[in-house]
Amino acid sequence: MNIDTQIIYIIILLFSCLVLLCITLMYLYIKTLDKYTKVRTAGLSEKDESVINKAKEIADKIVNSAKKLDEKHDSIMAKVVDQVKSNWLESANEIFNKNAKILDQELNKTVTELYKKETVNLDLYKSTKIKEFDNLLNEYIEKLGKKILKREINLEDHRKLIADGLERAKANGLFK
Amino acid sequence: MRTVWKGQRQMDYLNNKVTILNDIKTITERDLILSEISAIKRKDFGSVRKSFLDRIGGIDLNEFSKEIKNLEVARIFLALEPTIGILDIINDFFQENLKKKVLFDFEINSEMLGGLQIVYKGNYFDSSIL
Repeated sequence: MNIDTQIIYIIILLFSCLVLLCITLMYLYIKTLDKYTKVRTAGLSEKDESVINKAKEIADKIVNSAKKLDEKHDSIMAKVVDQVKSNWLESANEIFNKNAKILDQELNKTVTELYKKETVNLDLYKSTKIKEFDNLLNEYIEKLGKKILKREINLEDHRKLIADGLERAKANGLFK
Repeated sequence: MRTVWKGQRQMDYLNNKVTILNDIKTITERDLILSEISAIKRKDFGSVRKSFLDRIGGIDLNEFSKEIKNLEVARIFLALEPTIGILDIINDFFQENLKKKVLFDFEINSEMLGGLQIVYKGNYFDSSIL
């Protein structure tokens, strides 16, 4: 019987300890829940705000420095692009001028050659036409001369010419 | 008497033949005579000249045709149509130098002013004025 009482005491103690533990757990749970609710509903605490502000400041600094870097980069890039552009323009102008000179020379050469060729052709055409005209004129004069001469040679002259021709034929051995 | 008469007739025929031959100087005249001989052979006397008919009697037509056809021909180029005088000059010159009868084939060359060109027996001689 005595043992039973002890066990009961122990059980009661254990039970009370368990209850106490449950109550503590409940208290902690409620407290945590309250904290969570507070955080959710009432916003951030001063500490948090300070942390956030610090973080914001750092972020702003980073952004600003990034912006500055960006600007620097942009200006450097612009400079580089300008330099490249100017260099390219210079070299392009140089090449263009060089090519333009060569083209000009070639064009001059071609035009000169064409002019010379055409001049030669023209001279040839002129001389040919003049020759043709001369020949025509000569033919005409010859024909006209013949006509006049034929009229001028009388029958007696013809007889003499024929008799002379016959004598010459004889001298050349035609009648042998 | 009869023999004398016959001989006289033969002389006449010969003379006629010579006269006809002498009258033929160009190939045109030769062709005319040949066509007249053919007409006489056909007894187509209407297309034959009377002067020719008067002379041709007694001449052997076949033999005479052959004789005419065998005559040599010289081609002569002149500046003008040959007159009788020119024809005689050329004919006499040929006969005198060749001692034989030659016929002439005349052709007018308008390019010539005077003189003549001769083609005879394959030979060519030019004494023309062009």
